[in-house]
Amino acid sequence: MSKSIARLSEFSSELEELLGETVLLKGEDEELYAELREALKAHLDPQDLFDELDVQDLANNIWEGRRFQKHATELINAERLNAIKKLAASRPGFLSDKMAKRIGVTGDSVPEDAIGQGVYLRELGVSRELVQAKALLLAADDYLILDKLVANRSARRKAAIKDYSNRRRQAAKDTRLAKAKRERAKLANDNRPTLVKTPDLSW
Amino acid sequence: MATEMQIAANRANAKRSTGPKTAAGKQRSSGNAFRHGLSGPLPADALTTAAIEGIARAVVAGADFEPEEAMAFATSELELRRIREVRKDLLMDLAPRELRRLAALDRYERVALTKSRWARRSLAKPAHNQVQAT
Repeated sequence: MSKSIARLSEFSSELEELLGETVLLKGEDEELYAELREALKAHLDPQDLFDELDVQDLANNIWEGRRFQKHATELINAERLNAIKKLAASRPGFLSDKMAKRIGVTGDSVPEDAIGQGVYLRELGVSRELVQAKALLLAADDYLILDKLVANRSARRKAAIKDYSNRRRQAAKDTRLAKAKRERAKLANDNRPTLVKTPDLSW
Repeated sequence: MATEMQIAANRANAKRSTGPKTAAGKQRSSGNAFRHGLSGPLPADALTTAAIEGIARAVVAGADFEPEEAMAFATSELELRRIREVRKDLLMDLAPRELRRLAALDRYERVALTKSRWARRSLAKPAHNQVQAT
């Protein structure tokens, strides 16, 4: 490790205070975030400030990506009830009298406790996939935005990894070149013709 | 086709509504289009300047970097943090319609990220040169 890099590493704790940031929102698991960051650190073995910033960016992007993915899933789950209601309303006779009587459906209103019951869906002839697809359609606008946010995080993650590996490759190349240069200089020094002292023949 | 009288009336009316007259009014209307201020540079207040200088000083003290490069690096990092703070505030109290704003913030962040990446690269360059020299 070069001297400058070593000094930077010593300084990183102070810089971390200045540059460090957390993407955690209220109520999010701090321990899990710290675990993720530590795992990335252990895997990438940051050597300098830039590596540390990349680790931080990676941790933040992974965390945010997961958060938005969760939001997207919850968004679709929240629309399931509406999806079943719409499916029921759009098909006259969709609910048989027997079924309606059994689950207490009147008109197009479906009781919430009936949702999620496989029996109910099977008897209606509605597959879970159809409900999911309808829910996705109902939440499409927001889902697309969340999907874009997740994709952006993924792209940034890739960019940070690319930057990190480019820098590492460059540093390795620099070290290799410096070593070769030193060896060449040493070799040239060893092969340099030296002046042979003329023997003293005065005797 | 408007008559001469109508044209004159329009002109007279237009003269009466050409925006605020007082300094306070002008000041207020100058902020009409202001949304979050993220498209402009960082504010040149004492707090921001001190933060930039603090980061740059720490970076320069940590390794033999050029002060100008360190300042550019510090500025770009702070710009990024400013955007992320706004996003964090937005996420803390997210209304359904604000998802679009969240996506818009991503665009600002992408620009700031590119800037920051360039600043990091140009700051890292002298360090690499130094590696070669040792």
